[in-house]
Amino acid sequence: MMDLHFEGWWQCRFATDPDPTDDPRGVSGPTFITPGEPVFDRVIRFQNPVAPRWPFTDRIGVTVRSVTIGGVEQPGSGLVGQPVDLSGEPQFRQRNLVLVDQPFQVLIDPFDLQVGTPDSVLLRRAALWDVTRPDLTIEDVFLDEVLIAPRMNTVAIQSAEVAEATGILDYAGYRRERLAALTERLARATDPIEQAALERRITALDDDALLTGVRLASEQFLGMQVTYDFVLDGTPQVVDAAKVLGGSVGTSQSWGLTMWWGGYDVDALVGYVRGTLSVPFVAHPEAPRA
Amino acid sequence: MAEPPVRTRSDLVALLTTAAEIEHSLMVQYLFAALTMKHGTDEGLTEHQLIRVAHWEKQVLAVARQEMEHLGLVANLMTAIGAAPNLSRPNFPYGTSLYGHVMELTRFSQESVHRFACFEMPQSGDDDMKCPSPPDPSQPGPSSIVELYEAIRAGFVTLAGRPEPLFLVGADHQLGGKALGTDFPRVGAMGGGYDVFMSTVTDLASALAVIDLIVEQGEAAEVAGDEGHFVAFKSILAEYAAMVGQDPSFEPARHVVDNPSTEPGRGPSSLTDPLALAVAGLFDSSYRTMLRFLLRLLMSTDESPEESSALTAVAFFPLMTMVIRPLAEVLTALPAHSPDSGWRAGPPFSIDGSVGFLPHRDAAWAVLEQELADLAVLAGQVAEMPGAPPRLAYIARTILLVGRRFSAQVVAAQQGSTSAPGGDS
Repeated sequence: MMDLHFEGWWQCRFATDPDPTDDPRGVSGPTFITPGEPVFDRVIRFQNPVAPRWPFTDRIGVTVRSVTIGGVEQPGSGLVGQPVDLSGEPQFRQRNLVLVDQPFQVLIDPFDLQVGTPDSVLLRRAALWDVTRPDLTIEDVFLDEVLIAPRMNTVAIQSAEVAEATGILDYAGYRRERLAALTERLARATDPIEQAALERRITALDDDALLTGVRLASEQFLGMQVTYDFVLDGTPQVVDAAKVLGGSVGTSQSWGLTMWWGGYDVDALVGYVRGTLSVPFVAHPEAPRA
Repeated sequence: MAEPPVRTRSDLVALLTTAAEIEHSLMVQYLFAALTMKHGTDEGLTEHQLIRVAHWEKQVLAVARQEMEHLGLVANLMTAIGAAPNLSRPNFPYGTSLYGHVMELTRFSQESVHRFACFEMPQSGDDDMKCPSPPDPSQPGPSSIVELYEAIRAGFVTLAGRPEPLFLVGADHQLGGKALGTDFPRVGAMGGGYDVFMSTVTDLASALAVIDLIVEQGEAAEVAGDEGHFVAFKSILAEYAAMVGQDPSFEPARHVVDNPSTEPGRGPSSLTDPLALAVAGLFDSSYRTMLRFLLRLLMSTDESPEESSALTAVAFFPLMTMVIRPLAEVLTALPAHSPDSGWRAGPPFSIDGSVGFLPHRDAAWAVLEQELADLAVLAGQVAEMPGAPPRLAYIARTILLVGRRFSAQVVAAQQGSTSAPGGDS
């Protein structure tokens, strides 16, 4: 088995409850757009963020950090450093407890994972609700417990693992530091749109002192960890143009995926993901290059 | 007029019924004002002004949520002493003994925020805030919210001191923060999610704690980390005055008609634009359906915990946040009249008579299921009207999905199972 360990910061620009999920700007929940930004689109982005906010302007991107084959580290693998991406404009689908009736359940749909790029090396596969009906969406199956159960997540709050991965050890302190940093940037900003955007973010962070609900939600997001464990069972796509795999990947078998998402920063609209994609793998007779 | 002292359980129930009506009415008025506020620079505001306006909207919506909390807490007080919770109220506008003001739906303005501040005025008064006295001291009803809750508080103390048992219904038939999802789990504390602190009532101590919380959230400077309602409104007024000082043309709200109505003959309040009329009708139908779900939940007698959760799962997040609020936002952007007079429409929040409790469980669930199905059909029709904003289609789809989930719960209940059956895929 070849395990690809990936992680990094992702972006999702979306309104959260008690705002309606289609709220284009964010009002009563902890997320919001700032002057100069497009309205929310709810799309989860592992790469190519839209209007990324400081201090994550250059930090968003999920990549393969290490590869193991049979549990043995492969430090020279050409897969290390490859981008990991989600295709098909995936979203957290809930509609404020309409599609799921449990809080903290966040189904991601569609889920189509790709590692690498077609011009070098690519492993791509989707998770389907029903392999016999690949076009189904969450809205077609949300009442079918058998079909949705594998894609449900478990939840941990104030997660130590998230804290260690993100470095966010003190939620209130993290937001206070952000407030101070943004205030300092505002003092130096000269562009009117940048000034207004910073003012919008500062106003929201100031609300921590006034609005319990927003503060709790903001801090809870920072520490929350949702964990998924399901298989990718759609039609696989394997490209090895650069011949970096050093072996063959199983395509008739499902690919396993475990991952957690967490540390969502409502001010910067980013969160962290860490996961492992496990694919059946047989090395070529010569020394493995992966 | 000062409230007479409570002598009987009926006296106390009457006061709590008045309290429920007032909390419901205030909540709707605050919601209405918040949802009239402008959202973009294309509505004549600068980016700087928009930031303030968005902040005010957030503050007023938070206060409205706490009025919902107050309504829920009053329902728990009523349930605890064996009374029926009350979700009825007169349609707007109507007179009130509270500081001589009228209960009415008006867009966000200095006048409306001033009225809200007067509603929430501390008993000790405020040197900077002048509110009119009741126009007729003989008019029945409390002159202030604090006075009303003081009478309720004294009533609980009086009746709890008598030999007859006062508290008759336990917490399992009341609304708690866990069931509503407002008890955010965190180390060392619970509650406060969405600025809501729900608790149940089982004895005098818990009843008094609930009453004190309601009063403090209104008049205190700060409660449990939240800004009190009066302070919030007063701070908005001060900021509002400063904004007008900088720009005399500053107008944070859309030109929404007062007390919008789907009925003819009410002057500018009567909506005549076909799309506005249809959306307002859909809004009122959705609002009434939500209230009927809520009332069945509040008065549930033989629902299992899972079945109560099914009612909660329709009434709260789905209908309140995904239907009622966005429909109101859509309305305040639509022309009120045909031809366009420049005025915008708004949500009527109209109730035809009482909300109507559905007393028999199986029949109630069947009726509620049918109402959701009818609502989905109506929403689909409205979303296809000429000129309908795309957001209406999303709302219609949501209602359809809510109905499907509830229908699955109805089937599960009929089968004596708490798990939902197979899906509709």
